[in-house]
Amino acid sequence: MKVLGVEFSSSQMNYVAIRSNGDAYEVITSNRMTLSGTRDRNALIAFQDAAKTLLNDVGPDLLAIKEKPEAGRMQAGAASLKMEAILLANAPCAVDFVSGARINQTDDEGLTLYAYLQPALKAAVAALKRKVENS
Amino acid sequence: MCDHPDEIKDGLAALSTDYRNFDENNRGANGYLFFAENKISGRSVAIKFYCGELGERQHDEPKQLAAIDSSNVLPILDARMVSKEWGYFITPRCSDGDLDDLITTRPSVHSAIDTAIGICCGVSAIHAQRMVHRDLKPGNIVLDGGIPRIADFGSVRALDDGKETTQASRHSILYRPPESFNADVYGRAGDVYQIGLITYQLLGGALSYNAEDYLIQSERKEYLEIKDPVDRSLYIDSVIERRACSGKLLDLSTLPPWVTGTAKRCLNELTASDLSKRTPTVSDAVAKLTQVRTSMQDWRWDAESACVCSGQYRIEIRPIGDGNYQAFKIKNGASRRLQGTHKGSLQEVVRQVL
Repeated sequence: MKVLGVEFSSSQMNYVAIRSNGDAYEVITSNRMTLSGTRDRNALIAFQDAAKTLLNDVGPDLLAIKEKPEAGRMQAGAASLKMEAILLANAPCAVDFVSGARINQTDDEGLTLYAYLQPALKAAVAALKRKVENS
Repeated sequence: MCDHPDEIKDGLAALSTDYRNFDENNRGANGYLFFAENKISGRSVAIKFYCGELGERQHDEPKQLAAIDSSNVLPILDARMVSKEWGYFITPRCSDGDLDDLITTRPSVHSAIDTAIGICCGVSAIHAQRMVHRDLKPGNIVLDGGIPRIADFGSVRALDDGKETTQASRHSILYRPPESFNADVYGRAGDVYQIGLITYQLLGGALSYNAEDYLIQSERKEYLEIKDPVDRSLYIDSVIERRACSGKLLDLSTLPPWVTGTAKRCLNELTASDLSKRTPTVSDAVAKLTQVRTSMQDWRWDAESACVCSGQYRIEIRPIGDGNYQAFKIKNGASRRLQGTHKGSLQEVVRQVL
């Protein structure tokens, strides 16, 4: 099973894809994509093509997105929400929004991954655990 | 059309029931290509006739094209056989030309990167089916309303189960990745290499299609001493192979001065001759390209002036003679010299503006 974990931070989409056959998992790819303009049609289309490329390349069975509030003091920015919408619209699989509390319960850390990729990894691992528990 | 094989004549005669205005296109290779218009819908189509020996792989090209569902891959509308060996398939005609046409128009920075990202999207759909294209080059990518669509599937190969590479293609030596020369293998990273070359061209990098341009002085001397045309061709191939394998095929100094270090690093990583240093997948390639897009302003050529829009105004760097340029600020139609800049080479003036 492949899980693509994603965290939106400012105008960046950080992602980590993991593969698991049971309890253990391995990281198959990780990187970050950038949205270069929130009101530029061409920039949004380019980001959509980039997101489709990632989804085609990874072929995830589950998409795990670190949840961000849409309103309130901690609400996500326009770029994050637009990137999230594009990813959701193109997702070929089920999507699990992973809350901050669930992410905090996950103590897995990718030792070879940059710090900015850790939340995306934790989102993927948390979604994987829930999927395994529920199956 | 009188020189065509009888099968093609028969096929065209049968097609004339539903299509009109047949026009042959000699630009492509690997078969016969015609453009025509559907009599009822008025839709313009491309009809490709191909000949293949009987066997499992006879209809590989239309089969593979039909298996891919991506807006960046040309869709197949119909496929038929006209004899045991000959068949044809029909695709929409993309009237915007191919990427070579786009490159000659010197696209803006963002348009170039967006096109490269679109190509990555199409290639990822091919890779998702465990296939590799093996012949990505500007002539094999057509434009349809500004959207790049991968068109030629004559070199596409499926990867065998458990294997990540297949045999190298013999097409287009200029775009052949180094590992194909060295070990006669081709994998997904080969397609990434070819995307890197195309991106370099889209951004304005020089990649001559005249093979003799790759000869340095001593090689040219040796080359001119060779009389046999086949030996001459082989000699040039060996020069291009050496360039590709030593990572010296691209000349990043030919890129316009606004191409950033981030973009140059990206191009180096996409086209690295050492596989272990090359960007391994199209998703990694596309992630880098999104970062490059953010790192660069949308510079474009307007005749011989370089232009960029910045908020309410536009900056134009115009030639003023003697190889010198000067930056101007244009606001509400009024043009005046950009403060804080002075005349110099294009590179110097762009550096002042950046």
